[in-house]
Amino acid sequence: MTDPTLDLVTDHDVLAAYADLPGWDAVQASGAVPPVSVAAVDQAVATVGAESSVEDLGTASVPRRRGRRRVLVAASLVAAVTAAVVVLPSALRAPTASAEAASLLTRAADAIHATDPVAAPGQWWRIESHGTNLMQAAGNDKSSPDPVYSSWLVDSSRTQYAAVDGSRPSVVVDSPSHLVRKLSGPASVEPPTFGTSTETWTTGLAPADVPASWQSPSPAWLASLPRDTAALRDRLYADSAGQGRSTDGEAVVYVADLLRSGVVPADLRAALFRVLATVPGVEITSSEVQLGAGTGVGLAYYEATDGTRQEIVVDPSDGELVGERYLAVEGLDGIPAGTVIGTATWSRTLVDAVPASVRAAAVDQHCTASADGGVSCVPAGK
Amino acid sequence: MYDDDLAARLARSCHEPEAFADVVRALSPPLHAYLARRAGADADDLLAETWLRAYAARRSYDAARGSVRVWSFGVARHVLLAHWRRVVDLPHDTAAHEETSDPWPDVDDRLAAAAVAPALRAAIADLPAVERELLLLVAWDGLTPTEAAAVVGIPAPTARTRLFRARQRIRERLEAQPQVGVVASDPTRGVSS
Repeated sequence: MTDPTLDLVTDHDVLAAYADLPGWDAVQASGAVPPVSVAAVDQAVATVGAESSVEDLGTASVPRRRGRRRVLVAASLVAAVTAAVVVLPSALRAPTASAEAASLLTRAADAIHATDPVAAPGQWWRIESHGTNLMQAAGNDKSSPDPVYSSWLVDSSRTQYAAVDGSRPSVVVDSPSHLVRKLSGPASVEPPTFGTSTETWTTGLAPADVPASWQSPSPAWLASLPRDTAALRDRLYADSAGQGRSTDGEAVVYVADLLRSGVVPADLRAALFRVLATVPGVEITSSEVQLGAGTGVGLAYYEATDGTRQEIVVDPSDGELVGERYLAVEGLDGIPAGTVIGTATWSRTLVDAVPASVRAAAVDQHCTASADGGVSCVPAGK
Repeated sequence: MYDDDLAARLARSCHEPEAFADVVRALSPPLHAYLARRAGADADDLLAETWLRAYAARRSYDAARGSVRVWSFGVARHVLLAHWRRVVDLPHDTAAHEETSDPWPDVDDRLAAAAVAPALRAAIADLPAVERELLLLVAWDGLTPTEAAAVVGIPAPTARTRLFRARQRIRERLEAQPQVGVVASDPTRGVSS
């Protein structure tokens, strides 16, 4: 074709000229990418929603207790869990305690129909979790007296076999972890070591033989918890009092700890969701949060003391835990505001036995339990 | 959603933050594709970062300078540039060159994977960075040359001229190697990079 005078070249001229170029179709085709996932869009909405909440709350007035948070992050690493957040348009505002919001939460909690498969006493729950965890390290820079933090996201997968009746020790298989990406810190700082081989282990202690708690429940203890919303709420707040970052935040953390065990019966799960609906600051983020292969109702809590947001995702059809997510709503030790700092997905099935190969590979950590529920271990050879 | 609607939602979001979520949902598919083509697996995070920045800048949107869609691409481009500065070990003299949001090795990998002929890849590789960026905004993201110009931040007539000249140069190189068109049209022949 003849070239038009360049001053008069229109968009159409340019496009027509390229359409004529041999191989142009292949160039265009090379731009093919999979469509954006619902979860990614939800997360973008959540990130903005969290930002708008922060605007409303006023970041300057948010008190911080960084030391405690770091301990919690470390603890969640050990438990192979962490989480973040998704928010719907309706949640694009600071938490409210209005009657309308409370009613919405209660309706959402009521809509979760918790059911359990029928389990025989001799069976095992095979509980699988996959996720990414935040790993942090502090170093010193000669130019500043303050520590310099580096952060990484590390993935992890765990399979746990837990006796349905709590009479036998659980067996845990931890798959190798991998570095997902560095979130903050000087490029020269290498990540701390993390598990790069498969570790199969047991504490050697049956749940029934360890003083039970929200973090280490036994079937008998679970049976003893009240199912009435008000009574269960009182128990939750009494047990979590004085712990964690904030009174309400710790109540949410305790509920998440318990759900994560994978052994909470359906009627208690239903009661816990109704209790969550009464915790000030808890919001329904979406009725369709997609997390891994699962979808569920998102219940989120913004922890103002450290600017993070935790979300518990529950399958409304059976009340099973789909997963958790954590979002750094504010910047966190150099991690940009809005960064997802952890995700976890959970699923469980009933099996008749721990596979022989797993049982054979399991290393007994030789643990003992103290009266306050603490467990200390002396691995062989250490 | 039409751009007038998007502009209205964006304006409303200045006093009703909830309205911004509609903009996010409407424009995330093309923005995510833009980011995924250039940053692969980091696209999800960069998408969230883009919308965070866009939200912070929503009051500065000026309809006279382009549609909401083009404005959002401009924000995404800045996020992408910052991303490359963070993760890619760019040579120290990069700042001396024109900045581009499509570092060549990754772009070339994508072209090679789609069996774009080596001569065409080489011709695109030799383009000045800004021309290559304009070209890919048109080829991959379906923007018009005028829209691509607004994203990159240059006048539209300049962008059209540069695109037209780039196409001439590519054509000349291909004509010097007539076998290239055959390779490009034969999907059974892989092209090693």
